[in-house]
Amino acid sequence: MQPSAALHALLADPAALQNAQERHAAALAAWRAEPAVAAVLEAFAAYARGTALSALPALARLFAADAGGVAAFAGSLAAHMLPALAAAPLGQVPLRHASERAHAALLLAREGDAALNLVAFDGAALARAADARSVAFATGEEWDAVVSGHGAARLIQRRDNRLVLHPLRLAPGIALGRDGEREALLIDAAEPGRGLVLLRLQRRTPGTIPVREYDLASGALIHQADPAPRTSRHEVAIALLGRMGRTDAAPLLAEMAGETERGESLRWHALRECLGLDTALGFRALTAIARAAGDPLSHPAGALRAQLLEQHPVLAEIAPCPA
Amino acid sequence: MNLPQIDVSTLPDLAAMTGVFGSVVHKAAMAAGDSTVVVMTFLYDSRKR
Repeated sequence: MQPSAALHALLADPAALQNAQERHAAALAAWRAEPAVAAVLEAFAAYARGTALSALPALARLFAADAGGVAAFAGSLAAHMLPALAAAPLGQVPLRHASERAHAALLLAREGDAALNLVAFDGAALARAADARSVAFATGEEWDAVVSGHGAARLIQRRDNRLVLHPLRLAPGIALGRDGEREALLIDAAEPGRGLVLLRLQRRTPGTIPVREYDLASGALIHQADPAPRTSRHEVAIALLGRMGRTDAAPLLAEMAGETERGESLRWHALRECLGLDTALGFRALTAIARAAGDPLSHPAGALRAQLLEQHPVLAEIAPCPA
Repeated sequence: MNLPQIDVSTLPDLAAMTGVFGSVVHKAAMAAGDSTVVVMTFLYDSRKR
């Protein structure tokens, strides 16, 4: 692919490139400085710190049913950014964004575990996409308000190991709040041509409960994933220490395995690698977990301990940890 | 006491395995669902660093 002449010209002139970017940055700053927008962003920051949405009227009014404010809020962003894009089309809107075939998201604000996004769904692309076969639930609360367009969705509730599906029509004026651990929203269709635009507010609950994916047809749990990137990074680090034969890491792994505030998967992973690096230390950690009443890993640890004792009777001679 | 070296690959996993952050079986679960943006933000941050 050949870059266009306009791109060549822009690349040849760093000042023009910088001007284009400054124009976009100024437009965004002007939007953020609008009193109504500043009030929303200030309320969002408080929401991110844990304040209840109901205690933040400037933000809550966007996610109330029949609220006209959400269209005005999104409209003011367009009113500021579109002239900048028209004037400097090769500049980049300084908001994080992502697009897939059927939808695009623009991150308006992010702080801590909270995010405020504009999400647009393309009707034609959604119609071409394969039907969703599964749905994922993550702990936290989620709010959606329809900014424009119409669409069809399903609110999926997880109740006693089964999924209950509620079909929904989405239209301006509709707003939904959800407990993400029990409820999820699947967008099935959007108006051809105009699409469907949502303002989406999310606040994840930090913790160890994994994101759980269920099969829509059967309601069966088909996958679970770490709720935070940090946990996955730890798992990778633990595996690496094991492969490197870093016996000096064994005490740390034994400690992590015993920390019940960590996720079960990470703890089990630490325990396995610890056993591989230092048999005595690992076996002591395993015994302590197996004997800890109320520890969710107690049962699998007991089974593994019995398996290891059968394979290696000498392990019975390892004295339990004095603690 | 001569202790055996334990081969990690012989040790069982938990009955329910947990995948890395952002992993799903069916991509559509992400495409139209709620987790997309969280993962998108993470990938963006990772790429920037």
